[in-house]
Formats: sequence, structure tokens, C-alpha cells
Amino acid sequence: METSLLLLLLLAPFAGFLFNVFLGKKVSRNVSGTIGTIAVAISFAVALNFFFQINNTKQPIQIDLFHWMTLGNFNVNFSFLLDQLSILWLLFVTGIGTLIHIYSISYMHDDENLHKFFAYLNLFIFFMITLVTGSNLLIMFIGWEGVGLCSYLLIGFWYKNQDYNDAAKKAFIMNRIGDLGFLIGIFTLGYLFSSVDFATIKTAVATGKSVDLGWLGFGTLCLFIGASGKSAQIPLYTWLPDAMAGPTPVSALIHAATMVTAGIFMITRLNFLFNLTPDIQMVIAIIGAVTSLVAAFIALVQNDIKKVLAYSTVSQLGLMFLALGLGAYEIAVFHVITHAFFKACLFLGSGSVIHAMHGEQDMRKMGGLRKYMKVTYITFLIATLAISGIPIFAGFFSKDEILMVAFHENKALWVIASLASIMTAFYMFRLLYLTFFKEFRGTEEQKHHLHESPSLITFPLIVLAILSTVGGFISFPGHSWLNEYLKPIFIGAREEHHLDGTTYMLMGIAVVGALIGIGIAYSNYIKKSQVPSEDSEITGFSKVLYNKFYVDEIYMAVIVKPIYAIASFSKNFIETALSGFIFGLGKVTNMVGTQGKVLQNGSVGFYLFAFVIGTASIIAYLFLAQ
Amino acid sequence: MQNVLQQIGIENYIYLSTLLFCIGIFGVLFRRNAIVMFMSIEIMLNAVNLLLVVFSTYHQDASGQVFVFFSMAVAAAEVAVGLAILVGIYRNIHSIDIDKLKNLKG
Amino acid sequence: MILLLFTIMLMNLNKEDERHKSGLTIIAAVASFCLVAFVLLAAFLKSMPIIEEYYVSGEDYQSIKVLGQVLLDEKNGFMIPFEFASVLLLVSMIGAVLLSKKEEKISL
Repeated sequence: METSLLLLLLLAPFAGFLFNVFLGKKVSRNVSGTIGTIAVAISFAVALNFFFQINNTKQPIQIDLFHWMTLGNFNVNFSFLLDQLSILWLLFVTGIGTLIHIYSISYMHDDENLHKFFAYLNLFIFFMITLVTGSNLLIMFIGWEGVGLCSYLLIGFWYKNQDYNDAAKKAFIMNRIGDLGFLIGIFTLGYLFSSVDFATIKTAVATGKSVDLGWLGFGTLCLFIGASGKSAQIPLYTWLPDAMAGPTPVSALIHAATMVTAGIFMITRLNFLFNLTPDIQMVIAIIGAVTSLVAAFIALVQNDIKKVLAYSTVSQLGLMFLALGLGAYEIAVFHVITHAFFKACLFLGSGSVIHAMHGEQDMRKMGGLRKYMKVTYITFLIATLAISGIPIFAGFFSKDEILMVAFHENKALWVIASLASIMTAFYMFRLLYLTFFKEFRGTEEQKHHLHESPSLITFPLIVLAILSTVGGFISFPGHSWLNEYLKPIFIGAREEHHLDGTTYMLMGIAVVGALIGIGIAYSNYIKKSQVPSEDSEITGFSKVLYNKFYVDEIYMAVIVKPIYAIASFSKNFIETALSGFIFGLGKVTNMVGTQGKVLQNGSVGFYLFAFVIGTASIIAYLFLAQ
Repeated sequence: MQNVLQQIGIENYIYLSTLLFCIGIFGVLFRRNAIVMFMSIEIMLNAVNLLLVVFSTYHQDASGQVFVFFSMAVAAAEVAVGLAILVGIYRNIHSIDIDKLKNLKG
Repeated sequence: MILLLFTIMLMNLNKEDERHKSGLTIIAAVASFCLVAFVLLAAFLKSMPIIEEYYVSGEDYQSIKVLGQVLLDEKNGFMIPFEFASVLLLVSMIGAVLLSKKEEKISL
């Protein structure tokens, strides 16, 4: 019963993918989109069912499909583990996935390759479910690679533009670099524990098996490199802003809510291992905090709506890694969930705006859109309030918990994280003001076409806005349903935060910081009606920020150009030498053959002479040489 | 009854047989007329038959002479087929000079 | 030998018919003559005689009667090669006749 439900969960999106690949062109656009959406909705329904089941029984469900391989005492089964953590992830992946599918039916309905789009989306959901429900690191890796592949396919969806293809390649290659780290981590863990199964490793650690901490540290560091490739941390974060070349639903689904959270999922799964290596945890925390700050800086001056949201995503992911690094796994999970809600809402809202502006993404050409697009404006406002950390909305609770943990553990990181949060509030409200307030700055032509988006687009926006509002209630500091729910995936007791004076003071500081950020944004863009300058007029530190600290250029000069140089060296010298050698062998054979051709002159007399010589030599050898 | 080899000595027979064989080889390599080549081959075969008979007397065994029977039978068969082939060649190139058969020159 | 003589006479060999052979051919033929003679003689002379004295056993070993018995004896004779030789002669006769048949012109 459970096996068949699990197979339904896994294979419904895959069936949707197959349908859209083979039959998508033959059916109408609406049918293609609907089938894709229903496939994901089925998965969501099954995930809900499992959620209620696990909530009641509190027992994880392990389903073995078949035995995969055995090498010595290293055993790997193809089996799936549904426990509290994976069900939680499944719920929001399939839930938000369904909403985005509904959104895409309307958003992409002009596109001629609609069926391909839904095929790729379904394939992505399939791989993400595999990643989340795998019971060992190898199955997770299958899903890991698969989502990287789908990300590549979807970013380069409009393949006719070479820039988009380059962005897709960049995303895939950076993911691959991370995957290398992940693989080395898997190998190390397999070597240390003779297994890559989560349950086996968990029991091994719980029973106090002693492992070489040096190797364990190396393994967890490699796993973190894999996570940073997938979840866009320093130094592998530059693909995420470029990935905005893909259609907006893709950015919402993959690069806001689901794929980029895979790294956090993996680290939370293996929390017991990271707890054993506090040095690596410190590394994770520092990288998370620094990433958060750097991305926030860059986002301050970006003018493309989606790029601002992309850097905001990187920044929020940095905060999540900061939480992971400080050992607060439940808080990171909480922030993942709330971030998924409001970031998806922000991206879909920006998609709605771009749709109304017929493809224009530069904020300097927008303005005053709240008169024309009421629903989009209200949902966008709610999501922006959530991300800025205003009380009651979801972001406040999760971000505040992260800041609290940082304050207790490491004050320096708390300062960095608070600074990043203040800047978040600033640039998000800057985005809101530039897009929706004041007067419209675009052309008359565009102004005529401004209208609210159809209901298939606004419906997901409304749902996500509601979730952004109430999503925070699943975890209050003090007594948190989420912490109780996630207890079984940890070993041992977890420390609880209590509501006391420090807590309230920190909450107050965070809210005041956010209000300061909003205030600065308000004064600049509403009171003084500033509009960001054109590209050619940006100077000084703003220019450095606008060019993303020139990180892409540094990578190009330090890494990409030497690789090209090595490649052209190999092509020009090594390949010509080798091929010259190989052809030379052929030429030698040809020469020998040409000389030997003389022996075949066709005259019978010559052949007879050869007979005689041969016979004489045989006789000489046999009779005389003995 | 005296053994004829006592009179003549076996070395002389061997010299004779070798001489005949070498004359036959010389004829095969030097002459270009196909029929003369066949005759040279017959000379070689005769040399061998002679040697076989000599050794049959040497060992006082009749097997050598029986072998000569078969050798002669095979020689006859070979000449028959060889001449038939020669007739076929003649029909194609209208000459029996074997130097004209150079079509397989590679 | 008379037959050989008849063959040579019938062939009507002329001195003019014999084409000029290159010096290389002569050298090759002479060289092989000498080589084969040398090798064969060396091989023969190197081997030791098995029987020291030529002996005469007085027993009749090669009259036709004995020869016939040796040839046609089934157990330690040469009956089977005899039969094979006859088959061989038959086949060669058929082959010779077949190979030298006149080809029939196909009339259009």
C-alpha cells in the first residue's frame, strides 16, 4: 500500500513529463499545461496523505524497492525514506510546484514550446522528489544531478538567445563543481562508515562509533562544497543571478523555493555528522554570513527586478547557512519554508509585472503600477513586508530566530547578519517603491497595455501571500510546533530558546533595523523621488557594486582564460604531435608496403625461383644445421 | 645373387639422382616454353623414382618399389591435368610462353 | 624415353622461337642449380650409412610375385593407396577432358 503510494508520488510527475514529451505537441496548450499541473497535484495529495500519517504515528516510513549493489561490506539499496523532514520538504515543493504550474499555464501561453516547458518542469519535480525522499546519499545524488540538469534545460529554455545558453551552461558547470565536492564527500563517508545510508550512519553516530575526525572533517567540508554549489554560496554563487535568463516561473520554482534549498536539506539530513565537526560548522557559518552581506551589497544598486530578487535569494540562503553553521537546524528549515513562500510570491509578482510590461525588466522604466495592478501590488507588498522582517508576517519569526541564535553564539556574525537584514529591508522597499509608486516612467505605448494579469496568474499570488502572512505561526520562540515535529531527525536533546528579556530586546532591535531600512528607502525614493541613474552615469563605489564586485570578471581572468589557454595549447601542440605520430606509423607501413610490392611482379619464373630457394633453405636447416 | 650395389656403390647412384634433379630444376627455371617445363618436371620426378628404387635395394625391402608405382601414377595424373590447363591458357592468350601470364602483377 | 623423343620432335622447337632471356634469369637458374646440388649432396654425405656391408639375403624380395603380394595385401600391404590411386587417375582423366573441352559459342 505504502509502496504503491510512494511510486505514485514519484512517478506521477514523471508520467507528466513523458506525456508532454511525446504527446505534448499534438494536444492543445491548455491540455498540455493541465496534465502537467495535475501530475504535480497528485504528488501533493500523496504528500499530504503521508504527512497526516506521519504526524499521527511519528514513525518514519522506509520503503525498499530493490537491492542495488554490494561491494564487500558496502551495501546500497534503492530505497526511500519518508520521515518528518522529507515530508515537510515534499509538501512545500509539490505545493508551490502546483501553484507555479497553474501560473505557467497563463504566463507561458504564448510560447510555442509550452509542452516542452511543462515537460521540463515535471521532470524537475520528479528529480526533486527523488532527492528529498532518497534514503541514502547515492539516491539523493541522482536527484541532485537531475535537478541540476533540469535547471540547465529550463534556464536555457529560450535557446535562440546565445546569452541565455551561456547562462545555462554557467549554472550547470558551477553546479558540477559543487557536485564534485559532493561526490568526494560521499566517498569519504562511505569509507568511514561502510555505508551511505542515512539510518545506518545515524545509528552509528548515536551509538558512539569512533571515526577519524580528520577524515570526517574533510568529508563534511566536501559535502558543504557540494551544498554551496547548489545553494549559491561563495564562491559558487555567480550562476544564480545569471540564471534569471530563464522564464520567471522557473526562477520562482527552482531558484527561489526548491533547488537552491537542496543544499540545506542535505546538511540538515546529516546534522549529526556536522555536529561532530565544529570547525566545519564555523566555516559554514562564516561563509553563510559573508555571502549574505556581499549579496545584500550588490542588490542595493541593481536595476533589473529579477536580479534584485536573485541577489536577495543568495542573501537569504546565506542566512540559512549561518543558522546551519551555528547548529540551529530547525531554524534553518523554518526559514527555508517561509522564504519559499514569500520569495515565490515575489518572483511570481515580478513575473506578473514583466508580463504587463511586455518583457521590460528594468525598474527605471516602471513606476506607479499600483494604480493598474491592484492584486499584484497587494501581494507584492505583503511579501515584501515578510522578507523585511516586519512582525506578524512569516519572515519576522524565522529571521528573528536566526538573529537570536547568532547573538547567543557569536556576536560578530550577529552584527553581519543584522546588517544584511537591514539592507534587505532597504533594497526590497526600494524595489517596491520604484516599481509601484510615483508616476509611470515608461513609454506611452507600454502605458496603454498595462492591465492586471489574468486570474490564473493572480490566484497563486494570493495563495502565496496568505501563506506568507500566516506561515510564521508554525514556530513561535518558546513553544514551536515545528521544533517538536522535527525532533526525531536529531540525535539527543535540542536546546530550546525561552522567551525572556534578551529575546524581546533582540526582536526590538531587529524590527527597528528593518524600519530604519524602510525609512531610508522611503526618503530616497518617495520623498526625494530619486530614480537610479543610467548605466553610463554610475561612478565610484556604486559602480563596483553594480558590476557585482567584478567577481565574474575575476573568475574569467583567473580560471576560465587559463583553461582556454591550456585547451588551445593542447590542440595546437599536443594534438598535432600525437596525430603526426599516429599518421607517421601509417606512413611507415605504407612505405614498407610499397617496397615490398616489388616481390609481386606476376612472373611465374620468379615465383618458381622463390620456391626453390625456400625448399633449399628448409632442407639446409633440417639436415645441415642440426 | 649379388647385390648390384656392391658392384657400383651407392654413392654413384646418389650423385646421378642429384644431378638429374638439379638439371630438372634448371630446366624449370630457365625455359619459358610450358611444355618444356613439364618435361623438366618429369625429369625431376624420374630422379626421385630412381633414388627410391636404389634405397629399396639397399634395404632389401619392396616398399620402395611399390612407392614408385604410386609416384608414377600420380605423375601421369598430374601431367594430364597440367596439359589440360595449358590448353585452356593457350585458348586465352594464344601462346605458351609463361612470361605472358603477368596479369597478377601487383 | 621414345615418347619423350616423339614429344620433342612433334613440338617443332626452333631456335628463333626462343625469346631472349635476360641475364638475370640465367644467373638465377645457375645459382639455384648449384645451390640445390650443394645442399642435397651435403645432406646425403652427412648422413651415415645405416648398413655397413651390402648384404644379400638371398630371399626373393622384388620379383613380380612378391611385389604383387606386397602391393595387394590387405593388412600390411598397399591395397588402400592402390584404390585411391585408381580414383585419382579417374578424376584426373575426367578433369583433363573437362578442362579442355571446346567451348560452345552461344548463338544469339
